[in-house]
Amino acid sequence: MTVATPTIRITPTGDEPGARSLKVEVPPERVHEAQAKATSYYTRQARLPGFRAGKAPAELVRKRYRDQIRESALRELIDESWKAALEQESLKPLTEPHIHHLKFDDGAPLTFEFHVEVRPEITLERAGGFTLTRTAQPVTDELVTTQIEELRRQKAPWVPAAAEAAKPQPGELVRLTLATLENGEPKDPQQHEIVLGEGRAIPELEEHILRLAPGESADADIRFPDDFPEEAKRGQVRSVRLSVHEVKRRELPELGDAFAREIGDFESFDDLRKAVRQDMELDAAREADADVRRQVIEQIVAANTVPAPRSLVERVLAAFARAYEIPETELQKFANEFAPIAEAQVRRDLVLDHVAESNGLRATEQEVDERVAELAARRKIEPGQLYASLQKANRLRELERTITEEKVFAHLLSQSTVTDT
Amino acid sequence: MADRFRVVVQPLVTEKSSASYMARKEYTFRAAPDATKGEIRAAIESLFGVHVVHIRTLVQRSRVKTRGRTHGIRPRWKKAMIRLKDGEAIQGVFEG
Repeated sequence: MTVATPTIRITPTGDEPGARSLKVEVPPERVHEAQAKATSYYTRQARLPGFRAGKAPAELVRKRYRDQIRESALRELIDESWKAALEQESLKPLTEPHIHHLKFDDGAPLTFEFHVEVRPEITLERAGGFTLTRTAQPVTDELVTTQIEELRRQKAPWVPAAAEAAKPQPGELVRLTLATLENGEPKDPQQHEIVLGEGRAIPELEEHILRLAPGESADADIRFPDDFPEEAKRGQVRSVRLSVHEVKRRELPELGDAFAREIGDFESFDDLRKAVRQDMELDAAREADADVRRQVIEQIVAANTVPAPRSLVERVLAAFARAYEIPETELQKFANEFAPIAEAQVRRDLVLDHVAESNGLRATEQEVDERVAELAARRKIEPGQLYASLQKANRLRELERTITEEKVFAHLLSQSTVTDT
Repeated sequence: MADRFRVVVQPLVTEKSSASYMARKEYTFRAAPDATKGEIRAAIESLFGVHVVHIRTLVQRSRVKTRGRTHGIRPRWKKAMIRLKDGEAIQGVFEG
């Protein structure tokens, strides 16, 4: 199909999922017009020796500012062509277009190709009638107790170990000095505090520490393990001198009302247990909901043809790589490993966007305002203040997206059967 | 013949000389202050391969220029305005 405008001809040349190519031809008359406009601009601005500002003849300005005039005309024509292409081809671009095969000769039409990444159009033959299972992990008394024990451990102060000369045990905190031995002489001693058994030190080093009582020292050859994070040190052997100064143990607080008050705004230990249980139940419900959502998307993708365009997958991979701060040398390996996850993410977003678009489920301004007011009430601050801080952190769009997704999933789940197990 | 590059220093492209060119197809050059009309004509004909049919010259007087507390003298120089035989042109000054 060729779309003709009064001045610029735009012809689609290629159409692949997620990308469009358009050939553009600007007639010489329009090119001349743009150049004349640019020349007139430079004539007004030009300050050439021997001429008052704006008085230099056009011919001379054209000669002096040839490249700038060309560039300015080209930019104007490309902008105009892009606007025409957007309008006539109803494009929904994801990025700025790339320009290829540019030909810009005097007296000839200006020709080039736009290549642009677009959101692919998908059709969902089937988006409902699926059977989904919602499994919420039951929150047992044991799980609540384990969680409270964890809180207890976190709140426990470190106190000197019971027996002063006793050797440290796993789980105890050791204050020690570690020095590298060079020709039998300790060099660069450094103090460390290590909780034994938490994997913070090299296992071989921990073994040596376990054999030393406070006040004792020992020399040892430590080999860096093969999975040591610093690649250069893997397999290396260092002679070190270890001196243990002090051993501390955790003093677990008594479980009772005082502990509950220390943890937070709770009157009694029972209140704390209730709050912990409630949190865990909410977490379990959230996980179960997330799992149902994952199932419905998986089933929609399996029942329909949903492409995962390369360009979109690469964008997601790039975002992951930025978030995880992947070094450049590891990017290829990372891309290979994460490609299936990125593809699933792209398909999910395409399905959600399609359902939101075709059913008018995008979050409205009023819904965003209501959600902001709700969040503000929960945090006990003014809605206007929260709105401003969200806007400043560029997170309003994220909130809008969350509301849209909630509406889309509510719509999708209403069309399928969800069985609680 | 005097060095033709010394005789004709450079074409003058200014608002006034452009106006002369537009009105009368007259080219203006900066020339050596001691060059004669004959020398200028010969130099231009030889340099650009054209025929000069009319030449006028004038000498711009030297001027004292002051910049801050420094004074300097701009030397006097000769301006030559020429017309060419019909149909001839010097490329690269106003055209081309």
